[in-house]
Amino acid sequence: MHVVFAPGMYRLNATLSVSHNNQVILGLGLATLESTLGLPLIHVTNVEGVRIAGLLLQTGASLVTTSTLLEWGTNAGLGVDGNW
Amino acid sequence: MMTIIGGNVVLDNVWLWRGDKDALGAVTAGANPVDVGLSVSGKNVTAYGLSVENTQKNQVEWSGENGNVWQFQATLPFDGNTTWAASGYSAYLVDQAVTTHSANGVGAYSQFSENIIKATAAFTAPDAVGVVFSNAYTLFLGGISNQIDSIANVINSVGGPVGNDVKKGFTQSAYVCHYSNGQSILGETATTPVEEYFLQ
Repeated sequence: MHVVFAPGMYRLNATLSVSHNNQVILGLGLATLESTLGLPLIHVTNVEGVRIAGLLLQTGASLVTTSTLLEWGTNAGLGVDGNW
Repeated sequence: MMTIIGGNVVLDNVWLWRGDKDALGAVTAGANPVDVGLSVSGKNVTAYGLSVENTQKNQVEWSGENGNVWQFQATLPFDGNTTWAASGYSAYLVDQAVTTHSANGVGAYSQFSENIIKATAAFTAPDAVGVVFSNAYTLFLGGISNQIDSIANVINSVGGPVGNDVKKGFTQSAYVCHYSNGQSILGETATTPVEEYFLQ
């Protein structure tokens, strides 16, 4: 379930949803994700132990407004000790 | 740009940059807009090595409890205008409802390239015993000619202004060693011209 991005440009028209505990999303060579339609590039749902590293996130050239590039979590304060 | 809603998240070496140049050259007058660099509403979030550059509202907005930041640097938006200045935006805003927050080694600098404006405070935070800043500073890096003073205070109303020391007699950096609940220990001010910062 882990994802490794090789160096390069990845133009995404949908959000990469990280929804498994302990999932790893790793970019090599500062792999770049670009949001073409203004959607968040990565959304971590209410799971634990996720690690994301080595990535460059950017908006696309379109004039669409992107709400955020990386969204971590959905509802604050849920779970044991506000874990997510 | 980045939104942390979950708790117990660690940010390690995160650089949030609104580009001041793009494929067409210099970015000017509010083009390529970005509002907020980092928004944290989760609890117990820690950031090590956090940089936010040029975003056009509060660059960091922290409303989650028990945030911890170790090393932060920000550039206020180079193309800020009088509307930006009048809005009172900070490089780093801790929400007034927060009771516990720790910020250590945090700095913001100005390079207003287009307009003669002055930021109100680099850091804005509630006066609460549990909200503590250690080693906060501001720096007047440069700006268009005739810029006088660029950031009025380091934290809230403490620290004093920084500005163009060569032309106008302002110190170029201001330090606050410790700040909590309205009590502060100020650091020494430096009057070294900016050019010499890069030579040292």
